[in-house]
Amino acid sequence: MSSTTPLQTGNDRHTGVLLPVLEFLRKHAPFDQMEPAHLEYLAKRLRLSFYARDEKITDPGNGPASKFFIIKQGRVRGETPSEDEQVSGNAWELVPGECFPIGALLARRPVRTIHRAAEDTFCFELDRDDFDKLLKLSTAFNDFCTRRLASLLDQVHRQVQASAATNMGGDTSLNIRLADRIRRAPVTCRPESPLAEVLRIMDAERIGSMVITDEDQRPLGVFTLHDLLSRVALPGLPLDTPVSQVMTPNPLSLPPTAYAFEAAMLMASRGFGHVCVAERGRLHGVISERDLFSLQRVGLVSLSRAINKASDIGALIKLGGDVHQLIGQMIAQGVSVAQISQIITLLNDHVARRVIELCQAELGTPPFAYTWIAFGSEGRQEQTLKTDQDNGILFETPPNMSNGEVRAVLLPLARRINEALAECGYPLCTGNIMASNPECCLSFEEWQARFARWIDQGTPEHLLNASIFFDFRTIEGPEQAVERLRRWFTDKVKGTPRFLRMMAQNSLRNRPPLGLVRDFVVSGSADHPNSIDLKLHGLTPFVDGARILALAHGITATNTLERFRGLGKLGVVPRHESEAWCDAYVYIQLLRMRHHREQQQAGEETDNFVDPDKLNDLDRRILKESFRQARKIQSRIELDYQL
Amino acid sequence: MSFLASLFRPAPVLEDAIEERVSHWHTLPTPSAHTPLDRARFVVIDVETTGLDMHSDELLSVGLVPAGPRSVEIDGLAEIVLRHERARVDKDNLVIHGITPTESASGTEVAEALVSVLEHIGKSWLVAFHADFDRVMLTRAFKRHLGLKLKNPFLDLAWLLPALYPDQAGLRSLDEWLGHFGIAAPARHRASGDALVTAELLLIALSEARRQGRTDLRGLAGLADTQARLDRMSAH
Repeated sequence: MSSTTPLQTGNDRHTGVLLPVLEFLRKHAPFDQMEPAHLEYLAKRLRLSFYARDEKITDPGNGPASKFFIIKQGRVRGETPSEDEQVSGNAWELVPGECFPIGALLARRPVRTIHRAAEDTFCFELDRDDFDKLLKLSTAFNDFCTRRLASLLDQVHRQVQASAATNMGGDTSLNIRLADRIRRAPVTCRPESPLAEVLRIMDAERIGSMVITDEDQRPLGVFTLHDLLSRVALPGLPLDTPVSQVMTPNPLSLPPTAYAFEAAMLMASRGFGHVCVAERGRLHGVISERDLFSLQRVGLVSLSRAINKASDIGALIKLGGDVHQLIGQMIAQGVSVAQISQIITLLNDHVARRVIELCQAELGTPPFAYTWIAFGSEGRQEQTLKTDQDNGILFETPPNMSNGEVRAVLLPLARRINEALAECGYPLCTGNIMASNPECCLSFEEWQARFARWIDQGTPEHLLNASIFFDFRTIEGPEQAVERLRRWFTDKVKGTPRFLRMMAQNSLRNRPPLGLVRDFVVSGSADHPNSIDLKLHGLTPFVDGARILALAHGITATNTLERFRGLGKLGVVPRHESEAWCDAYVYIQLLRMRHHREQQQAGEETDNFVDPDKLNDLDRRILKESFRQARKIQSRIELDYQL
Repeated sequence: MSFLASLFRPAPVLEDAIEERVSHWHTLPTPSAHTPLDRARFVVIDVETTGLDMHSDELLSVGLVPAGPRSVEIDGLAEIVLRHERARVDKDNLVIHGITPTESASGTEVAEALVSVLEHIGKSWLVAFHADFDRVMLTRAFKRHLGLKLKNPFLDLAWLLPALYPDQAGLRSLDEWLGHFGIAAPARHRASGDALVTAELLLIALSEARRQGRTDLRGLAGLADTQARLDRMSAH
C-alpha cells in the first residue's frame, strides 16, 4: 500500500470522518472532560482491535505495558494471576468506556493483571509514546490517569455543588476561608465602656454582638443581645455597669485562614454563636452563626444549643426532626461526607450527654466517677442518622465499695439512659451491647480481663466482639481511665500477632462485591434482588482493614479515615494510596447517605441496599473503583499475614 | 452516452502531476498471492453513489480505512467526496447517503479525488460488503477518469461471513450482521462510517478464521467465492 497517511488536501474532512470515534469518546470519563483539540489528537492516533471471547489482551509476561486500551464494545475481565481464582474478589470486569492498564503504563512496568475478553470485544488502542504525549498535552487526561479515583470524585462533587448552587442560590459551601466570609470591619469597645454606650452603638450599627478589645485590638470578650436579656435585664443591672462585668471572657478565636467548617464545629461544640477572627492576636472580624448558615432554617449552632438546653426527653425527641432536616440540607448542599459525619457525631454526642444529664437529674447522680463510652460506628465517629446504640460504662470502684455494689447503682441509671436514647431515635442494640447489660458496665480491671480473654483466645465470637468493642471512645465522664485502657490493649494486641492474624483472616471472608459476570456481585435474596449491601460489603472491608492495619502499627485512632491517614503518615503505605483509600471509603459513605435520604423523602424505611443498575454511569464507575481500593487493602493484609 | 460510444471513448488526457502519481502507483509491487493471514494488509472500502445502477450512476464519495490482521488504523480513516457540478439528485438516494448537491459541488476534482483514493488503497487487498458493487463503480471511474484498470483483489464480507458462520446463513444485509455482533453504527451510510463498521466485521471474520485454523488469505477469498457461487446456484 502506498500511504497510510490520509491527504489533508481537498475535502478529506479528517475531523468529520472521526466523528463516530469522537462521539463514542465524549460519552465517557475522562474524555468528556478533554479539550476538543486533545480529543482529536487522541482519536487520530487510535487503532481498533478485536478480541474474541477468552482471548488475552494483556499479560504480565509480555514485558512493560506498551499500549493503552479503551473498551469500545464488549467486556474485559481482569484477573490477578497469583491469587485463588475461585474467589470472586480476585477478578472484576471492565465495560465500554473504561481504560486499562494505566498504572503499568505510568510506571513503565509489566501489567500485574491478565486482561482477558469476557465476550467478543473491541478495544481502541493507543501506543505508549502517544499515551505519554497525551499525558503532557491534556491536563484532564493526566489528572484522570494519575489520580483516577480522586478525579472521578471531583466530577461528582462539582455536579452536586452545581445543583446545590442552583437550588439554593449561591455558594453555600463551608469550605471557604473565614477571611472570605467576614462581612464588615469589626465594631469594638473597651472593657471599661459602660453598658449604655455599648447598647447605643449596637443599636446604631444594627449588630447583635460586640467584641471587647484592649488597645492593641486583642479580643478580650464578647457581649451579645442574648446576654443582655440573661445577664443585664433579668438581674436588673444598672446601665452604667462596665461591659467587662457581663461579657463572655476569652472568646473563641480562629485565624482568617481557618475554614468556615471549623468555625461551625467550634461554635457547635461550645454552644457559642460567635467566633472572633484574629491574626497574631489582633481582631480582624467576627463570624456569627448566621454568616455560616444564613440559608438554612435550622442552624448547627442553635440546634446544638437547643439540645444542650432541652428541658426533658420529650424536647429532645422533638429536636430529632430538626437534626434530620439539617443533615438533609447539608447533603443536598454537597457538604463533604467527612464533615457530615463529624456533624452527626457532634449532634449525637450532644444528645447522649444531655440524655445522661437529664437521667441523672431524675434518678440521682452516682457518688463516684464513671465514664460513658461508645463502641462500634459511634466509637469511630461514623454514625449515620439512624445508628443502633453500642455503649458501655467504665467505672472506678471507690475503696469502700465492691464492683457489684457499684454496678447495682449504675445499672438502673444505665437502663433509663438506654431507654431514653431509644426514645430519641437511637434504637436499642439487638446484640445487647449497652451499658445496662452487666457485661458492658465494668471496672477498668474487668474490661482489661475481658479484652485480654478475647485477644488470647480469639474464638469467632471474640473476634466479632473485638471488631465492635475495640473502637471505643469517651462520650461523657473522665477520659483518663479510658485512654489508659486503650494504651494497654494497643500494646497487648501488638504483642499478640496470632490475634491480628485471625482478625485478618476473618476480615478477608468479606470480599468487595466486584463481579465476575457483571460489574458487581449482587445479592440474590428475595427481599433485595439485584442489590449491593453498601454497609456490609461496601464499608465493612474498609473499616475492618483500617482497624487491623492500625492495630498492627500501634495507631490508636478509632476513626477509619484517621487510621488510613495515620498509616500514610507512618509510611506503612504510600501517602497517595492511603488518600485513595480515604476517597473510596468516603464515596461509599456518600452513596449510602444519599440512598438513606432518598428513602426518607419517599417515606420508606431506610436500608443499605442499592441496585447498581439504577446508578448513573459515573457513580457506577466510581463505586467499582472504590471496591477496587478495598481489594487493595485486602491484598495488603494478605501480603502482611501471608494469607 | 450510448453503450457503443462508451466502449470507444478515448483514454482521458491527464494533467502531468496526476499522470505522475498514477505512474507511481503502477510501480508499486503487487502483494504476493500467498500472503499468510497474519501478515495481510487490507483497505476496507465503501462507496456512495447517486443510485444503485452500476452502469449509469455516479460515484459520489469513497470511504476507506486501512487494517492489519488484528486492528483497524483509525488514523488512516478517510472520506473523499468527488466533485460533481451537475450531480443528478435522486431524492430517495440523497436520504440514504446524505451528500447534498452543494457538498458534491465543493468536493475534490474527480481525477484528483480518484488518484487520492488510488494512493490510499495502493495495491492492497480491498474489503467491502457486497464488494461487487464497489468494485464495478470504482473500476468504471478509474478507467474513465484515470485510464487505468483496477486489479486489486477484493474480499467480500457478504460472502465470507456466511461461509465462516454457516449457522448464521439467515443473515444477509450489512445491518443484519452488525446487529448480530452488536456493533453500533453511529454514522451508517456515510462512506467513512460504513467503511469503519465494515472494518469491524473484518476483524471479527479474521479472528474467526484464525480460530478455524485458516492461515491463508487466498484460501479465505476462495471460501467467499465458493459461498457466492453456491448462493447463485441455489437462487436458480
